[in-house]
Amino acid sequence: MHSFVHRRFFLVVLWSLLVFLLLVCSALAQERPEVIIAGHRDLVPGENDPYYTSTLLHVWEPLVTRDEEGWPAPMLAESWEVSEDGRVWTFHLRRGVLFQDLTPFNAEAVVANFERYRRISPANSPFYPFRIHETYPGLKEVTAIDEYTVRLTFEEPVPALPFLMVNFGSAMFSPRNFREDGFFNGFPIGTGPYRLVEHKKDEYCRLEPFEHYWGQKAISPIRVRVIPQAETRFSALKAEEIFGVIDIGALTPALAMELLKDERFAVEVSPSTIAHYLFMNGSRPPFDDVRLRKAVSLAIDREFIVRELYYGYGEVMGTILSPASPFSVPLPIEHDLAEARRLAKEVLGEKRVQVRFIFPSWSLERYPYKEQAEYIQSVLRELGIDAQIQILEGGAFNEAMKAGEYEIAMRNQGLPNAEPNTIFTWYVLSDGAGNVEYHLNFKDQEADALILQARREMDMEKRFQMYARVQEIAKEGYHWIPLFNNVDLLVYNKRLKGFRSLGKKYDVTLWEAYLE
Amino acid sequence: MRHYDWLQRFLQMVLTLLGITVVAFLLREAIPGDPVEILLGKEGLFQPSPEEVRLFRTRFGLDRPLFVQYFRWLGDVLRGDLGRSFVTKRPVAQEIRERLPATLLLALAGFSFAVLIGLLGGVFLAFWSGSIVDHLVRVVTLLFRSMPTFFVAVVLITLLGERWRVFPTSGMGSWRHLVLPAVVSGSGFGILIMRLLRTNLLQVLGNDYILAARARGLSAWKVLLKHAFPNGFVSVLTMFGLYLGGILGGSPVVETIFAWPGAGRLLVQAIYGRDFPLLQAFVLVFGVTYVAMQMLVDVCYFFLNPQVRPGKRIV
Amino acid sequence: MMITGLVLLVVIGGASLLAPFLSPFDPLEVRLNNRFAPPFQRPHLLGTDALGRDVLSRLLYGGRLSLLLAVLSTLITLSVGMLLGMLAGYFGGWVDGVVSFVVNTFLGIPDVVFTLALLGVLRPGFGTLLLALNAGSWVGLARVARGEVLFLRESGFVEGARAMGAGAWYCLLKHILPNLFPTMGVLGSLRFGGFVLELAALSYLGIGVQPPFPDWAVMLNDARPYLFTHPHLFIFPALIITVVILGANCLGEGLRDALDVRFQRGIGES
Repeated sequence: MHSFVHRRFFLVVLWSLLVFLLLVCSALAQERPEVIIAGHRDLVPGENDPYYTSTLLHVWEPLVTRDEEGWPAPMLAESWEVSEDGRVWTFHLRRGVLFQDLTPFNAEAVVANFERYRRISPANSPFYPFRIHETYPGLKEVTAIDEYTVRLTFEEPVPALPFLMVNFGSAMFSPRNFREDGFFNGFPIGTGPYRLVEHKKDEYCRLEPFEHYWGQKAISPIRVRVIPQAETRFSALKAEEIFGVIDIGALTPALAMELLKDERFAVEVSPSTIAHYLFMNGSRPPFDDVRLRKAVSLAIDREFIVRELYYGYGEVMGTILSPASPFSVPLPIEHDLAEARRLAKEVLGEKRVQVRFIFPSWSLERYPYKEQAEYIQSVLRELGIDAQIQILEGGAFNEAMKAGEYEIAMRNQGLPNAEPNTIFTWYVLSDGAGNVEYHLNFKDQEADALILQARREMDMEKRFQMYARVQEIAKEGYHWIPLFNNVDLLVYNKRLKGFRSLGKKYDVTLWEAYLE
Repeated sequence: MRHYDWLQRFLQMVLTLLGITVVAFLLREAIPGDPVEILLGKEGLFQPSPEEVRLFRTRFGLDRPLFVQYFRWLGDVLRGDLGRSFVTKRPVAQEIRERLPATLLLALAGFSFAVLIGLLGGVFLAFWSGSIVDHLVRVVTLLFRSMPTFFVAVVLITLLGERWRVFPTSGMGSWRHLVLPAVVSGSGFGILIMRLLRTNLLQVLGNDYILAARARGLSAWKVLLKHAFPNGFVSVLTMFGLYLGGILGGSPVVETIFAWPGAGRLLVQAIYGRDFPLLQAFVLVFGVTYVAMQMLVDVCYFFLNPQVRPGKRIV
Repeated sequence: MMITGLVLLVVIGGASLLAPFLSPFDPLEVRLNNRFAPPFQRPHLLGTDALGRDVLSRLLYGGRLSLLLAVLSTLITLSVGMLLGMLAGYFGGWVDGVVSFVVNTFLGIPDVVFTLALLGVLRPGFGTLLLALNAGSWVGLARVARGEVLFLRESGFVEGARAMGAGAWYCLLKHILPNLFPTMGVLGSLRFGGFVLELAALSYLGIGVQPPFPDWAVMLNDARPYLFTHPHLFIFPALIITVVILGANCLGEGLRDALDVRFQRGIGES
């Protein structure tokens, strides 16, 4: 152990000297200095992860990605079409693409990747679990029609396949990158503008531009450091040890505001699919009465929360579907304290009622949930509802929700993929997993029918209408009350050029970034 | 000490270790939440299907009765296999081995700092006890200690890292990266040692044999070092043992704030993530270190005063 | 010395007790139009917090649970730790074996695991809180006490007493126990402060003070995001906690002075 420490220390010192020398040389040679950014977690879970790295690092690319409006857009697949019955999807692949080990990207490689999907599924990941039966429900066959065409055949119609395949659903790697069990045999070899060249778990990773990238080549090498504490990231930015932040919860709103007072910094706002909700226990009083649930929703001033607690960084929501989804319809956001009081009086009369208001302690690291809860508590008091706030540890929180030992639970929820049917199935469908497990107890026949029907509906316009209607119905249920949508505050040093957020694409233009 | 004592001690140690691991196994069952759902559920972002949960449970033997699981684990450990992390699927031994050196480095640096200010400060304060300096130091050090670690760290990072750019704000690298975390990590313990040593020295210095030594003309320093210190040092020694016993757990708070890639952070992640194999291995390693340290301290007692033999029975 | 400590603690303790009479505002009253009012202005002498609540009132109420729990816990921890440590150190043999076994078990398992396990098994409440705070803290004290006792039992006056036929309990009470006080005083007073701060960590696990009730350590933690923007939210709770710990420490170390006249001489004065 002693020699290990010794050796490592020595290596680190040596390495530091080398870096110093390199920096000196590079300064003299006027080469671009390394761009250093940081996130709160390690974006490289590693070999036993289905994707090895987060899509944010652009080491690998999917067949289908998302455009800035949230719709599926071409990436490694240039175009696609579907048969009349929705069971056969044909993808036309982009030509002239090379993997980072210089093997060509073609139909054969795609087939190999799908074969790998079968082997690894179901697989866990800190990003999104990979489950082939959810992303490719009823997949029968994957065939290479010619060198640049792949056909997927399904047992049942899958009208929304591209939505399911977005990003993490269709990651492509070199066929030589896998072990027997389907996981990685070394660094990930994707087609992206960056190669992963170094990784120290939970410390940092280094990316270098891939010279043979098919598209706009990356300008500068990047080092992504792991700094778990938001305040430390703040200090590192100020000390110019890092030049930007990345990933969910990049900086808390309060710290971001403080940092922006300094002229050196600017911010890129990146909308995420994560939104904040109140889960209402509809299986027991008092929230088994929709009027009281509506009263709660009406009493809360969402604008106030976003403006005061999040410094304006957030998008209030009137619909349960995050605005990051293209299917989201802007339903009216209501705030009417008088009406709320009236409804509460109607239900409770002169009595007061005590409820448990729970939220998980891990959320405190990223969001001002305590103040949020205390605010809501103060508002509910005026309705005759005495909310008892309980901050629970993650596991205990889940337990409480499953056991129905709560009346109101506050938590955030992200969209697992671009197809809203997944989230509707969880929380709106009468026997949906979330609905039942968390005791929301929402039942609506029309919504059920629409959700099931939409799974097979090929016409995009019709789907849109169906989903709009589902959102309207869900809203009137007030069982899963949306508050507002989260945004990530990517504060960066103005010396970092080319660092742009790509809207609902949930991405940052790393490849354009360089330091002045 | 006789060989018999040593054997007895060793057996005790083994028994204690077993006890620790058994208790850990029992305790983890009490922790709220279904570990499988937590592992697969990712902070509630996803709902694992009942099928997945069942698969996971059988694959990792979590569906067996507790004592079967324990003996299986014990058997594996005796064969040198500490299992694989539920989260990263890598061997637990590898996970711990990667992170332990960083924690040890930080812990030893912190300990050195603590010992330095503790011993020097304690002696100094005993010497000047009752003076203005004594009172001033008392107030300042207690102010320091009454602030949660987090705040001390943030203040130091902001002043020394951010404003005056003397040290890096976080991460691991050169010796400069070590300074701030070591200071934060060691200061609390250092203050404790300082106050403890001061009190113990004063306690011993009040004894008659000290007066006698002084009366015989021995210098103040000599009296302090040769007579007062050995007896006054007992509790400080015990505290050292407790501190060093726990260093493998590192300080998760310090490691998190300073982005120090240590084992303390890993341990906390393992607990909240319900990564049982990792947690169990940690407990084992923890247990070994603690027990070994306690034994070492007992031996040191003997060197301070050969009359002292723990375990000796009193009629 | 001891007087200072006592005075400080009594004043703060008294203020906490009399909070309902002294407090100018309702500590729970949220005033959204008066958030972050700066201190040293009327009517909020110490300013207001993120939800417009009066900081002074919250400080007055904030110590009630903290002080009660810290005092109780310190007493429990000291008693249990000293007792077991003395028994282990004095009697040796199997008594030491058993106590050391228990102590090492508690030491070998991370505190968080204990707390979480408690969470899973017991309902949040005062008893659970007390248990959570004390379960692991007597252990270190027991070990230290044991160490000192091991040395003390070899000392002259104990041997003398034994030679004169004194029983074990007599030795323990008259000779050993008083000599433990100085060390226990220091450790106890520092633990006291630790308990006050630990309460915050527990409240984030669902045990302990739940919002919106004020608690000093929790107020400290709540002030985190506003450390640079509204430092008064952090400074006042921190000051009060320091004063309390200072008081406890003076009391603890002062007890030593009061118990034996000899201890008051420093080496410089011999």
